Amino acid sequence: MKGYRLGATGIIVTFFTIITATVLLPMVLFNPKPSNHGNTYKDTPEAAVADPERGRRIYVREGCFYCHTQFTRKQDRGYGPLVKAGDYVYETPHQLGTARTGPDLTNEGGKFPSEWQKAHLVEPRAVKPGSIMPSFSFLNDTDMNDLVAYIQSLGNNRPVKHYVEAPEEYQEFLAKKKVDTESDAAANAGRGIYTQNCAACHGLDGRGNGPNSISLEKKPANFTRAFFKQYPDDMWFYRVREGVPGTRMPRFGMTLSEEQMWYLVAYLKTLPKDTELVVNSIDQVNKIQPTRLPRLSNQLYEPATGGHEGGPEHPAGEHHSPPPEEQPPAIDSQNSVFKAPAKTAPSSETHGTTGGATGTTTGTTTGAETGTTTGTSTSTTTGAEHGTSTGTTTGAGSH
Amino acid sequence: MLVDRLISDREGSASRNFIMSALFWSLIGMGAGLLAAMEFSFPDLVHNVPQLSMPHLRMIHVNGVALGWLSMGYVGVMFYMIPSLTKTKLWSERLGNFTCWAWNAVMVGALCTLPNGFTEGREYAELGAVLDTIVTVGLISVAMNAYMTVVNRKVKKLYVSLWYFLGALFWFPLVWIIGQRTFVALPGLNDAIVGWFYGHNILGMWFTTVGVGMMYYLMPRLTNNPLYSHGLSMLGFWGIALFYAPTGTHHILQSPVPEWLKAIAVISSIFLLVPVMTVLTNFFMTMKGKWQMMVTDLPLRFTITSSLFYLITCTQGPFQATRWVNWYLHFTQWVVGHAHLALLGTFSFITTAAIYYGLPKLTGREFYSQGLIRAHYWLKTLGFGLMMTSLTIAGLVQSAGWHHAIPFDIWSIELAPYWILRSISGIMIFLGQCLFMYNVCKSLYSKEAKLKAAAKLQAAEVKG
Ligand code: HEM
Ligand code: HEM
Repeated sequence: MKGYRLGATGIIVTFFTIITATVLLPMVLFNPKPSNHGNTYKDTPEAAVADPERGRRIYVREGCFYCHTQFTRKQDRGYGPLVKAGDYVYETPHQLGTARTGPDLTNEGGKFPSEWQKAHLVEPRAVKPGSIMPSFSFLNDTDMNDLVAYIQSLGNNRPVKHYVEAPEEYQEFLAKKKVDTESDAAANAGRGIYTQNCAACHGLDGRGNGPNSISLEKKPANFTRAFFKQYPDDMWFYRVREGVPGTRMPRFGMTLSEEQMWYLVAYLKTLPKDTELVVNSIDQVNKIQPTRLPRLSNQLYEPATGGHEGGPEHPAGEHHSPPPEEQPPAIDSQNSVFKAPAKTAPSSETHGTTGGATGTTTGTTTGAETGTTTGTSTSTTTGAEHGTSTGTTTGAGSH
Repeated sequence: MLVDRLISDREGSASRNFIMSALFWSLIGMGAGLLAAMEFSFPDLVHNVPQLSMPHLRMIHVNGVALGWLSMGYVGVMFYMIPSLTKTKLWSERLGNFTCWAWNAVMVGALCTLPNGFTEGREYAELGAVLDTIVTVGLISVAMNAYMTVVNRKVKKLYVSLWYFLGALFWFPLVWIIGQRTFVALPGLNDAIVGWFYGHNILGMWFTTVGVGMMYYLMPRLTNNPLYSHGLSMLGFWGIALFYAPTGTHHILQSPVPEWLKAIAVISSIFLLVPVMTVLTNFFMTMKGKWQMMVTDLPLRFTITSSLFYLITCTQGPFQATRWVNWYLHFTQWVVGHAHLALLGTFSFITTAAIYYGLPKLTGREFYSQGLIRAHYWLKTLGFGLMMTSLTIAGLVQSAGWHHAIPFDIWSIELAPYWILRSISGIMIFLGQCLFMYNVCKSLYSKEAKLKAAAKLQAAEVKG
């Protein structure tokens, strides 16, 4: 009997020691201060019409956390800034999550418009083909609005610097870079390369709607999404160079030179990143920005010098380039052409407003562009320029 | 009288009622898991029914298999094994039967509340306050029953299985009470720390300890070999007692919780190899010279398979608890595979073995069909192999996806074949469990079975 008493005491003592050390002690020692970057649930426009705190209860009730985490880590490129201990002080029950069957939602707020979020909850596959998220169409309108308000409040107080980062070795490429990726000249060079190599899938204006995209299961990226605003140079370069494994996006590092890829980066950065708007009525159509192509310039660039704008060897370039005020006409003229059909032709209502608008934009822009390009260009890179004009008028690669 | 029927004091009735309830809830729990798995492939399979949306099914699934199938099965098997090891009767069959009803009430309550959205939103602790309380009462009465049976024992020395059972029945009620957090609202990360202390110890201090205790019981009995070493078995027991409890934080290894807590968790996870290896050495040495029995003896076959799965689980576990590996595998389906390897592979198999071994002894009725048992074994083993393979590969694809910064929409499409494979494996496992249920019902309640039992009894009397 003595032996068993000893054993029982041993079990009790070890177990309570462990409870003290791993359950009680952390509660005493670990009291992170609120970081002010947690969710406030209040500072979003949606909070005016719906109750984000109730939305959180619906998030818990519907069990969203079984598939979505709220917990970013250093190695997760693409989910926004890292979380800190203080972010969770008011989160009870915690929604850190357990498996990532869906994407992380730590910084989801503001990534998509509320209308998109609602449509996604009702019918996920309508806005994200191939998604396996269940439909939450059974939620009533109040629940749905509250839930969307909660989603929009996620991570809003965290300053977003980079969502995505290229692997570390890309710092070396960045250091070796000779091309000035901010310059219009480099962007113009990149435009030709883009039209020849990328437009067939990503579309002429980068909306991810090139002719090939129809048959691709995994759709090409739409560069006009606001998401791409935060892409740093090395990330663009990384994507172009290594492609996207598992998709049809090739590794352009195999076919293009490093320099050409930097021109591409310069061009990709000029694509407008704010044009993805939700259009609810015909009146809003005109507010959509027409596609803005990089400013035309007569600056020469030499592949060898990497297209530095107005390099000392080419003072002529500066001389030829029209002053910036004179530049807009191209855009203006697009605008006026663009406006015309939308206002005067009510028939555009029949093909759905956004579709009609995009169609017109592309058509007119490219038309105007071709004219100006061929008229004023004295550039030496005829290859690239050719790419542009053929691309815009007759479609990629058919020259 | 009705009370006598419902809360009977016939010997063995509590054990049998628990086992039958466990089988019933296993069908509900696995059915829910199967439907959830199918919704990964066909997300619109069930449309506009909130009760059957994937997260709600998952709550039914996990609560159904963990609380319903495994826990009730465990209690049933313990109520059979403890009296047999102490050579007495169960202290109170009435209390046992009463607990069984209470536990079934909890499960019915869970089935009504969880899918309708009454959840506390904490993994493994979803049940509401009332149900939590009933489970606590149930656990305390099971513990009471077991301890009193051991106090009344007719054998002086306590066999190692009893150590495990009694330890588990001391630990688990405490862990359960700490883990529910029903009446406290801890700040986020502390909530997670306590939550995973519980989430891990429901596995370590309940499913593992009782399951290993069952292996210790079955292995020597089925092979008629003496246990290889009692010294080793004690070493294993104390190793589990020391190293299992502090490992909870390895589930949130990459979250911003204190580093010292993570260090404790990782170190003790690795030290867990010691008890696991001693336990398994003990088993495999006990099997010495008797391996060929696996071919003919079906409960033994389940037991061995289970201990092999235990070996895989517990080499996988410390491996994925290290920071470098966890860094890659956390949040992926690999972990879901590990969870099924442990609970479905290891501990469901050992419970099944114990039921196949114990039920005939408990009720005096042979199993209706050996062929069905074989079919059950192969459906479960092959089905589980398929599930494990598909989930493990899916996990690796997933983590490769986000480590190469591939957009989510793209790699998630890549997983479609693995979801289909898992559904197929789910169908096999569920079918196996249905055969199990059918076989048990046929053996206990059919006319032939009754006649056979009566004939056996007569024969025994004639002989006697
Ligand atoms: C040596 C033993 C073991 C170690 C070191 C270990 C380690 C781990 C680790 C590190 C995780 C978390 C992985 C992640 O989320 O990144 C995990 C998950 C899990 N383990 Fe184990 N494991 C062991 C044995 C077991 C056993 C015996 C069981 C069952 C009784 C089990 C059941 C589970 C379950 C269910 C999960 C999933 C929890 C969830 O995320 O919901 N493990 N294990
Ligand atoms: C018919 C066979 C089964 C199927 C088809 C199945 C399917 C599933 C599915 C779809 C999930 C959700 C995974 C996720 O969230 O990504 C899951 C989780 C889980 N299942 Fe099963 N399951 C089956 C049998 C079992 C059994 C018998 C047990 C235990 C005895 C079990 C224990 C668990 C646990 C503990 C989890 C949570 C895992 C985690 O959080 O990581 N399952 N199961």
